[in-house]
This record gives sequence, C-alpha cells and structure tokens, in this order.
Amino acid sequence: MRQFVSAMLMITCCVAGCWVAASAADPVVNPKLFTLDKLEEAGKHFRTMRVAFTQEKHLAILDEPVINKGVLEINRDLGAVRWEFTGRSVLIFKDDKLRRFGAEGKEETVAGGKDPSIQTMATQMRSFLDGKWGGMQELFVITPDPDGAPELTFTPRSQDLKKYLTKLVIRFRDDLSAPQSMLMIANGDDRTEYRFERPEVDIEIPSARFSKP
Amino acid sequence: MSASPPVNPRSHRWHLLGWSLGALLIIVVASRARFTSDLQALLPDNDPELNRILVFLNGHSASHMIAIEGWAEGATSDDARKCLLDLTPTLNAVGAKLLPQPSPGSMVHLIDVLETHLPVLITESQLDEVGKRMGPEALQDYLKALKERATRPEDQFTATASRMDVLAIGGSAMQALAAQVAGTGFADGVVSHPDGKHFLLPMDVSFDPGNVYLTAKLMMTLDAAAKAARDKGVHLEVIGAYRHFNDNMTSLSKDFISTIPLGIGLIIALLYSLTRSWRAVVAMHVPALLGVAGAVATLALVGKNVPLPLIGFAATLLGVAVDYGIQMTAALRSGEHRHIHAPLLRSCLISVCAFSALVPSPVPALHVLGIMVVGGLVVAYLSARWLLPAVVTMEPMLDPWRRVTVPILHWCEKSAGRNLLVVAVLTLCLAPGLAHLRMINDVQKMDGSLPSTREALDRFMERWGTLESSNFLVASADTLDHALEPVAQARRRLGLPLSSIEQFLPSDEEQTRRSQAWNRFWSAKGDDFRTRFTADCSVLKMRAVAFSASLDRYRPVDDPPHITMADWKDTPLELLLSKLVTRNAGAWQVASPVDLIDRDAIEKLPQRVSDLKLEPVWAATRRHFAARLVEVLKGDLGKRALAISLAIIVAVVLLVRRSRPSLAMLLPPAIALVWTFGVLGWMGEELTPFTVIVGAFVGGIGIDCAVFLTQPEDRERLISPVIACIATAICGTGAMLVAHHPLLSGVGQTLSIGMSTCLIACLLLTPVVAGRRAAEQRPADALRPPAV
Repeated sequence: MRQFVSAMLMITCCVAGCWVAASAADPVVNPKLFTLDKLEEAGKHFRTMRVAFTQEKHLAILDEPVINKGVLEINRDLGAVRWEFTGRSVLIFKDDKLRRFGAEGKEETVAGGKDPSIQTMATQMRSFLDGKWGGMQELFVITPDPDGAPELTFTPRSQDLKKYLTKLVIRFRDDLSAPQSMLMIANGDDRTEYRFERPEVDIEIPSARFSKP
Repeated sequence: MSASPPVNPRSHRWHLLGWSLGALLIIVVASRARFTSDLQALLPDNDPELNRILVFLNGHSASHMIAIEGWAEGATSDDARKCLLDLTPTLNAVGAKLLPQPSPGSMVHLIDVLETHLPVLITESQLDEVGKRMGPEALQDYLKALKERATRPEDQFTATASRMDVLAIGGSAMQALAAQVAGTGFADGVVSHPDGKHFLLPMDVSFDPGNVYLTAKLMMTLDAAAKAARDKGVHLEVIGAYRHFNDNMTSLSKDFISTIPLGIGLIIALLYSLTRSWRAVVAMHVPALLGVAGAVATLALVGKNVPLPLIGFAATLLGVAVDYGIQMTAALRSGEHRHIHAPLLRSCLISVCAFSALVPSPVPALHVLGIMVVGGLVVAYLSARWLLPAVVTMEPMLDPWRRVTVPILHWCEKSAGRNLLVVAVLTLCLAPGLAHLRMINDVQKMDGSLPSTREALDRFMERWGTLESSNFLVASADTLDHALEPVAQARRRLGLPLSSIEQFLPSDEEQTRRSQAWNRFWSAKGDDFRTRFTADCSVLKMRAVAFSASLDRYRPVDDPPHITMADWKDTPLELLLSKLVTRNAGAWQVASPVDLIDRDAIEKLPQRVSDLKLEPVWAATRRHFAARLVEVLKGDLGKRALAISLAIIVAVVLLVRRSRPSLAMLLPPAIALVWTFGVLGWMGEELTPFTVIVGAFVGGIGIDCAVFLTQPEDRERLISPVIACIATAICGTGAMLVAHHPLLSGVGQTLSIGMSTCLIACLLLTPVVAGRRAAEQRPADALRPPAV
C-alpha cells in the first residue's frame, strides 16, 4: 500500500504542480482582459493578506462529501504563509521551510522531498508569496473563458493523465488580487472545489501566527 | 693501464653538431606522440574471461554516476535538501547533470502499464502478500487507512487512483525498484532517506573518471560547495568513482611534488660531492634526459600511444640511463674513457636484451613498456658513448670519495671465504622470506583513496545500499526469452530477490506461470473478497461500486496480454530496462543487477554462478574483474620474468664468452633479487604487478654494477662511480618511501631495498667470482690517483 500511495502521491504532486505552473501559462486568454502580467502585478500590491476558504471534496468512493474550512494567510514582510484547514491541519511556510501541524497542534515531521504532496503545497505557498508562477503548457491545453471572464480551464493533453484529472478550472477575482474558486474534476467525477472568500488585504496578522498553530 | 687518446676538438664539434640535430629530431618525433591516460588500453585483451567482463562493464558505463549526500549539522533537514538542489547549476557547468526525471505523463503511463499487466507481473509470493490484506479484519483496517488518507484536506488524488487498483497490487511490483535504493521520495532530482535526515543528489557525469583534468575540476567544484555548505550547517559528502580517482591522482601528484625535489636534491648533492663540477653533474644527466625523449619517440615511431601511467617508469629508466652518464663522465674526466666503452656497450646490450623480452607480451602495458625502455636505453647509450665526449673535458682530480670507497673495496677483495660466508648467511636468513611472498589479490590495497573517502563510502552503503550495481548476472542468447529465462532461474537458485529485470520483464514461461498463479488465486479467493469488500465498504460508509474497475480486474483472466520491452516505452522504466537489456549483432544480452554489500558474498558470486552450470549465465562483478586482472598479469609476469632471465643469461654468455666473468655478472643481481624479495616476504608485503616490474629494473641496474666491477684492473677506478650510481638510485627511489600512495611507496620500498642489496651483493660477490686484482696492481693504487 505504501508503495502505491507513494506512487499516487507522486502523481498528485505532478498534477498539482501542473496546476501551479499552469497558472503562469502564457496569457492565451484575451490579452486585453486577462494577462499573466496583470495577474502578477495585481498580486504585488499587498503586504499581508488573509482569505478564508471552503474545500469540498466529492469523492466517488465516499457516500458523503468531505468539507473542510480554512484560512490562508500571507505575510510578505515575514516571507511566510499559513494554510490552515480548521480542525484538521496547519501548514506553515516560512524561510523557505514547510512545517506541518496535526489537528492537536502537534508538529509532524516534514522530511523535505519525502512527501511529494507536502512539497507541492510548499511550491504553491512559495508562489503565493512571491507571486511568480512557472509555465507548463506542454501538459495542459489552457482554455480561457469564452466570455472573457478571469477564468482558465486546464485540460490534460495526454490520455494517461486524463485517467486521473479530467479538468481544472481556476477563477480569479475580478480585480485579479486572489483566486476566487478552483475546481478539480478527476476521472469518475471525483471533484475537489475550493471557494475563496473576499480577501482581507494589509491587515495586522500577528507574527506568532507564522510560528505555530 | 694506458690513458685514452686525447680528444680531438674538431671531431667533437662535429659530434656536437650531429647530436644537436639528432636530439632535435628525437624531440620533434617525441612531440608528435599521442599521450593517453586511458588505463583500459593497458589491460590485457588475450584472456577471454577478462575480456568478456571488460566488454560488459564498458558497455554498461556504470561508473559515470556521482552522488552527493547531504545532511544537516546545525541546520534543518530542509536546508540540507535545498543545499543539494542549489548545487545543480554549478555542477552542470562542470559536466554533471541531473538524472532524467520522470514526467507526470510517464508516471501515469507507468501505472497504466502496471495495472493492465498485473496477472503477468505479480509473482505468486507477491500475491500471498496481497492475500494478507484481504483477511476479515485486515481488509477493513486497510480500507479505513485508505479512507483516512483520501479525506485529508491536502490529498487530492488518492481516491481516484485507488479506484483502479484498490489493493495496490501494482505497488507490490514497484517494490523491486524500491529495494535498490533506500530512498522513499524523489522530488526535483533529490532522493530522501527514510530517516528524514539524509538526502541524495544522484547525477550523471558526461566524462569518464579517468579523465584526470575534468575529474579534478569536478571535485574542486564539489569541495568548494562542501565548504560553503559547512558554513551553513550542512554536511556534503561526495560518493562515487570520481572521488576515488581524484584522491589517487591528488595523492600521486602530492607525492611526486614532495618526493621528486627531495630525490633530485640528494642526487645532485651526491654527484657534486663526487665530481665537484656542475658541468659534470649536468652532463651526467644528458643521456638520461635524451633516453626519456627517445623512449617516447620510439613509441611514436612504431605508432603506439604513450600511456601516461607508464611514464612513471621513466624515473626508473632514468636511473639506468644516469648510470651510463655517471660512468662515462667519470671516465672522460679521468681521461680513461676508452676502457669504459666495452663495459658500457655490454651493459646496454644486456639491458636491451632483458627488456626486449617484454615486447612480445600480450599485456599491452608490458608490451609498451618493453618498447619504451629498449628505445630509451639505446638512445641513452648512444648519447653517453658519442655525445658526452664532446661536452665533457678531461679534468683529472683525486676521487673525493676514495677515502671511503677504496677501503670498502679492499675489505671486499680481502677474503673470498669471508665474503661467501656473509652471502651464505644472508641468503639463509632472507631466502625463506620468499615462501611468505604473496601476490596481491585485493585491488583495493593498491587504491590510494583517502581514509575519509572509504569511511564515507562505508557509511553511505550502510545507509543507502549500493549507489549503482557493480555486480550482474549476465546471459546472451539468440532471443530475449532465451536470455531472460536462465538468468531468472539462476537468481532463484541462488536465493536472490527479484531485480527489476525479473519483475518487469519476465520470460514468456514465467509470465505463463504468474498468470496461472493469478487465476488460481482469484478463483479461490475472488468471490469471498468481493463479498467482504462490499460489506466493509458499507460499514465504512464507502461506495463499493466506485471500485468496480478494481473488482473487475481482480478476476481470473483467460489469456492475459504478455508484457514486452515495447510496453514500457514512455515510462520511467524504459531507460532502466534499456540499460539492462541490450541487443548487439543479433544477440540479446540481459544483465540482472545483484545488489550485494557483503564482500564475501560478492567474491563468491562468480564461482556460485559457475557451479550452477546454467549456460549461458555468468557473473560480471568489478571485484572478479580486478581479481582476474591480477591473475592474468601474474601469469604473464611469471613468463616474462623467465624470458628476461634467459635473455640476460644468453646475452652475458655471448658477450663475455668466459665463465667466471659471466658468473660474476649474473650471480650478484640474482642473489640481490633473492634477498630483496626475501626481505619483502619477511615484511609481509604483497607483490603488485608494479613491484614485479620494478624487480626487473633492480636486476638491470644490478647487472650494470656487476659488469663494471667485473674488470679487476678497472675496479678501483670504477668503484666510486658504481657506488654513486647505486646511491643516486637509492636517493631517487628512497624519497618515494615517504609517499602516501600505496603504489608509489611500494615501488619506492622495493627499489630502495633492491638497490641496497644489489650494491652489497656486487661488492661481496663480484671480486670473489671475477677474481681479485693482480697483487702488483694494489700498491700502485695509492700512487695513481683515481680521477673522477
């Protein structure tokens, strides 16, 4: 099982990495409405940000959906990101290091590349911090919203990848300051949806929040 | 004795002009020689077994890998990992690249191939392991763990992937890969150790470790990186052949730098004390320098490459050639050079005959050495005989060493019985040491790697296992199946676990066996499993129907598709398998890696495979290659030693044509060699091919001394130059005793002992056997000052 899960995690890592990278894809969308430059530029104008989110996992193997709520906090002065799934886990990324705390607040060992899933989270958090997104169009066909809305749809190019990920849709807020929603649809209609609330920008976030839960 | 005729200045000018042109020609030809550091070109190619392993190991180019291990010492584990990642751009610039990393698409395709071919990929024992997860309680625990994992907020694809192979049977097959390296994670090219502390950056290097310059550059870069990392609290350790090669080259360079100036200084001091003339000291070395150029030019003329490792023996050639220079210069300065011509020619011819015996050797190293030394000696002799008279003028003076050397000679000439008694006692004491002599059987003992390098490798192997396999079971056949089947059979009979070859590319026969086991397994347990699975899912609020793809797969299959190399195309396994399965000239070759750490087991592997009598399977191990190489060299060196001895005896007998002088020339070096190797035997030293070759040089210089001391009438005049020859050789080679490299210090030790025993044997035996000077000559010694 461990081997299998490891392999699966690797795929997760790759696919999620693609998501991160795909966000940085060349602006194939209408350049007048939605460009990568605008996206990056919009992300630069805050020192701190807090955005609450709800994650809904609709998994075909489970009778009921799994709903997690949480908060994403960013402090650029500290170079830190806190990604909290309320009551489940807290991930803190600071000084280019990722720490993971369990539901009881106990720190769990995060061994660098040991868990690719964690590494993927670290990559995403790093991107939140510096606002830079790498490009990776070779794996996905990136389709802009036909009506010009700030939305990108990523469809895997390879049939093999399509067995795991059908599509990924990212919707940004109109002012491009943060993502508004993200929907991942996997084969067999496994769906994971993130809905982000309105972000609070340049607010006071105690630095202790980036040290421990 | 009459003095030599006075020199003719006009004739010397012509000689000088001729030699200037000749030297220029030699240097021009030598400069056109192709120098090579390719050690493999020096290896024997006449032994089928050795050749087979060499061709195989070359084809696998396994040694082109380097690994940098990192761990935190004060910093955090993430710092260590980041430190390794940061290294890659720097190392790219010096020829090391990250290993090809699997793309997400190739990983997904791999899982697809695994799932499609489960019945032919999973062995019966692996199915038994799967069966343990299907027990009444085990299955529910397993599903509970799966659910827990899939519902983690940060996990996104476990649920999707598990639907296709819920029992992770494909993962069982992947264990064959996991067994090779202890790492559990692989991200951005860095492998993580299960201890969470150690990380590994494996890299592919574009050049051979034998490329001295590039290897040094790579290692310098890594040393600098390790130093910088240390300041950040991260320890970096380099593992791989490049570090060992660099250690050896650095050790040799340092040793040469520390010993050569010392040796040269001592030699110059000795020779100056003998001649009291800088011009004479310089002149003594002219034949040696021209001899080395001549040796290189000879190889160039016959179209051979000049192996740099053998240039080290130029120092020994210098030793012989300097003898010519010392004797001739001394004779010229005393005005008695005419008397030196015959012994000089004799000495040269005997040495040439001796080293000619190396030329027919099938071992390229010995063959090239023979050509090189013969060419060098001839040029050295010619220059000593015809160039030195043009540059050395007659300056008779009292021999400064006379106060010491002449009494020694008198003492040695005084009593034949006493000398023979001393020789007999020494021989009785030292000869039994020969019984203790052993040829080296562990090539690692010739390795000059630093202790820290070996310790790092040991620690690495304890932690990670082997970096790359150096041991293989190999089979070649007309079809792939005919090669796969016997290898798998040999592996089973040896009790070795499956390698990636047997796991992912089983023979047709094995695939049929596995699919039969698969069908038996699911026929017996399938229905129970499905019933229990549905019930457990219900208990855990999971939907059994979502796993229908898995449940459909877990059934007997009538005719499952067999897997071939082509199926692994575009998966991360394609590269691995293509290295292990090759096709050359219509024949398939399969190499099944054997990851053994236990040294004893590795040593016994070739014999164990041979005992199986499973044609065409054989074992290719680097250790066996090294042992076989020593064996082949030992055999050829034995033949060459016999040939050299015969050549010397024939040459001496033909040149001298008198029994006593012949014996006087042959016996001392023979006795000296017995003493030398007897001493080495008592010291417990193991012989290397290099010490044996050095033995030949000891014999050569010993004969030179004996040749000069054989003439009773010239003995007193020649004793100081003879002692000077031996003393300079001891100074040059004795300095090597302080070398750290085992090969260099071993050569220095053999030469130093050999030269010393040569001098003692020649002084004790030559006068006894060749005869003492006439009585009337001896009083005159005091009147006629021997000049140098």
